[in-house]
Amino acid sequence: MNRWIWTAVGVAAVTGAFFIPSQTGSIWPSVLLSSGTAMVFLAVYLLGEWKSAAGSKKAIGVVLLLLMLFSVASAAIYYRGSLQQEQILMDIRETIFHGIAKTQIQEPMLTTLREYYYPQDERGEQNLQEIFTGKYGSKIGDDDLFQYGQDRDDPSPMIFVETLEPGRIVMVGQSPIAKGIQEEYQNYDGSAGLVQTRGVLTPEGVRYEVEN
Amino acid sequence: MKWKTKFNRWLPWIVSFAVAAILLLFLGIWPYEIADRVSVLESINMFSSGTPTMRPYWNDRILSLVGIVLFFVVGPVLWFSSEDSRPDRSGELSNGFQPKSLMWYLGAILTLTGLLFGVAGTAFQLFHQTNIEQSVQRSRNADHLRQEISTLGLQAAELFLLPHDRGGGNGSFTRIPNGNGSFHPITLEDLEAYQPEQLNAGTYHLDEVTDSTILIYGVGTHDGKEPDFKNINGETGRNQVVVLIEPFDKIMRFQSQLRN
Repeated sequence: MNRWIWTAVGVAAVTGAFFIPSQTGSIWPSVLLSSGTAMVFLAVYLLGEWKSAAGSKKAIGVVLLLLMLFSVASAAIYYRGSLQQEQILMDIRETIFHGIAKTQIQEPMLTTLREYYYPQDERGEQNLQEIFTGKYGSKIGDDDLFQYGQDRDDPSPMIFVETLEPGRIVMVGQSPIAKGIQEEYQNYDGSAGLVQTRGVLTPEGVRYEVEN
Repeated sequence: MKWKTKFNRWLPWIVSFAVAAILLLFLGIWPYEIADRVSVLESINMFSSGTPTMRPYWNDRILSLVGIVLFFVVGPVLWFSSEDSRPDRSGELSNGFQPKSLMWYLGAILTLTGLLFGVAGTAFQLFHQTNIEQSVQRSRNADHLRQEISTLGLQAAELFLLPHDRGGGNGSFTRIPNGNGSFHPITLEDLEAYQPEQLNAGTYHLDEVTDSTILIYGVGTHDGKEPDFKNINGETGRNQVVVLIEPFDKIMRFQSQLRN
């Protein structure tokens, strides 16, 4: 077959394959499908033309085989690196969430517990609710959101004050974005499947656990 | 055959290879490198907002398609089809030099550039990913160490604050009840969260226990920044994180001057 026909067929096949996957989101499906098509095309081309090849033309054939080999290796290594990179960033985000949520929930609880057992002001003995409200009441906003005015665009943990009773305070930490273990888990704010932790303060101390 | 004749015969290959090596430095159209770069950008967006941007990145898409077409279709077909298959070397000059067409050079340069990208890219990525993996393991260990030491530290503060009848130190780290009316200074074993077989990030050590403060040291399983750093447990160069527990003040503070 004429070289220009081979080239036209190859370009058409590779370009067509490139545009089969969606052109939004990851670029990898397009690149991998199109590269795979190019490798198949190159193999078919070499098989078709090999019979007429001799001398240095066979040397070029060997170079083309090396090109295919190293391209497949390169694609595999870069693709693996991309997936790893994505996973690393997701892990870092989850670690950051747990670190911040734990501190933002437990520190006000321990401060409240301290005031409960070792009152510093003149009001004398107060229950947990009175102490917490006195110290942090101004930080509890609409929808029970505590301390920081997070919204959906802020990736910091959202801390909610779920229960405020004389002998029991419950705070919930919820990530606005990081996925938890169960996809169908119902989060405090009505979302589904996000990471969530919970701290419970009573006169016995603090209990802190990861819920999703 | 004289070496010069041999050299002349391979001269077009050598010239093409040299041009390909130069192009390797300036041509940024290796499709997998482009895809990797776009993936990193998307991962960062996912990291900061939780959702992919769904941007099409048209420039990068078109560039990577151009790379695939040039390196795997146009270059190989032009080179292979332009090579003379006559075994009698009738086209060869007396000095061994065999003139090649423009298409031959174009095909050879494109194909060899692709091959060099493939070899160099594979080698570089392997080296780069091994380095990244080691550095990620180190920083992941440091993160987990911080998490575990926070759990221990906050629990130590809680134990300090609880009264004796609830098993706590009643405002002291040196008077943890034994249950028989006597007391002992706090140890890590007093903390419910201290389960050495479940704490995977490293080992933990108490130091400088006073009535109102303690220092908890965490020594990681991986190396930290300074290779000569002396860790609290006698090891050298390991990750180390330290927290000061001061329940009557800030509750818990990381000690940056003691970390590695």
